[in-house]
This record gives sequence, structure tokens and C-alpha cells, in this order.
Amino acid sequence: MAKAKIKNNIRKFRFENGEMTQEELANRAKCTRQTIVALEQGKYVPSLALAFRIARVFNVPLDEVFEYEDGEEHC
Amino acid sequence: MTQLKKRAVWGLFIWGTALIAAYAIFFLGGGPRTFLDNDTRVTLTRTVFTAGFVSYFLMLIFTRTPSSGKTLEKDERDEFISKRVYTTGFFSLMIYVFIICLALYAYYKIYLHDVDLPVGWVWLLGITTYFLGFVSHAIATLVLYARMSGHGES
Repeated sequence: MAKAKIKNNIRKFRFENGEMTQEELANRAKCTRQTIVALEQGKYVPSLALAFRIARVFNVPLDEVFEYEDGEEHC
Repeated sequence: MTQLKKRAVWGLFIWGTALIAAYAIFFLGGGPRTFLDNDTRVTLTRTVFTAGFVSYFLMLIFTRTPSSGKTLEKDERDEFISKRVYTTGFFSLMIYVFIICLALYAYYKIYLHDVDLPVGWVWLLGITTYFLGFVSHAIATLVLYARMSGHGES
């Protein structure tokens, strides 16, 4: 069975929001800049709370920022 | 560098040095069999222990979070890494103790046909296990940070 992956569009939304820096996003989402870096690189999966805070910073629904791929084909 | 990572780097340096010194004291100058008979080696071991603790606590003081710090030093990712590090460090320590005990049993009881284990080996196991606890914790921290970090812009 293929492993589930959570992809994100954080970098895209950062640039669409006045070229927001990682530092600024981290401050507004109440996490460290290193965590934002890890998220954008796909090396860390955020908790639900952090995911919601990031989506609220961009003022978009959660599923526009984060995409869930379960690795299986559906009919 | 986060506080956790900073402390891991310094902890690895301090306790790694203490661990190497402990092995050197035990194996140079007669081996574990004559360890307790040699006051110099016992004193050196005590010195290494004391130096390690003093250095470690000074390091903790110098790397503490300032009370008026404006930037967030620790978040959920750091806590996630911290929890995994304790588990990883604990299991690696258990494996070390198991392997050493098994090796000593095999050598003294089986290979040398039921010869008593010199007590110096027990001291070696106890002291190095203590130091290795810190070392394995530090290594696990650095490995997990390397796997869960990236290279980004500022």
C-alpha cells in the first residue's frame, strides 16, 4: 500500500500575499521559521492546529493550502 | 539554530569528550581488571564526571531562553523531535547495555570457562552508559533535525 502524503502550497500563497517572508508567516502562525522551511520542503507534516493557523493567515480554506494524497487510486 | 539543536551540539561535544576520556582511562594503564587498584585512574574518572557535569550545567545556563525573548524558540516541531529523541535514545542505550553484557558473559563464562567477571568492567559499563545516554540523545536530536529541516530563504 502506498504511503499517504500531505502536500502544501504555502510557498505559493506566501508570494501571492505580498511576497510574505517565512519569518513573517512564522510569527503570524505562531511557529518558528525553521518549521515553515521544513513545511515548504515537505519534511514535516503540521498538526491540525498549525495547519488551520497557516490557512487563516492566508485567509483561505484549509484544503487550498494543504492537499492530502492517499497514494491509492479511486474509481 | 534552535535551543534544542544548540544544546544537542554542545551536549555531544561535552559528553562525547567525557565518553572518550572514560574509555581511555579504563583501557590504558592496565585495563578494567586493575581499575579500582589504581587511585590515579579513579581520581581521573571522578574529574571527568565533575568536569562533564559542570560544563553541561554551564552550557544549559548559557543557552537558556532569555525572558524577554521576542522570537519563538520552540514550537510543535521541536516538541515532536524532543519526544522521538527520548524514545530513540532510550532504546539505543538498552541495546548498548545488552550487547556489552552479552559480550562479557560470552567471554568470561563461556570462552574462559566460568571465570569471574572483574568488577572494573561493571564500573566501565555503569559510567559509559551514563555518558552514552547524553551522547545518544544528542546524536538522535541532530539526526532528526537534519531529516526534518530544509534550506529556505529568509
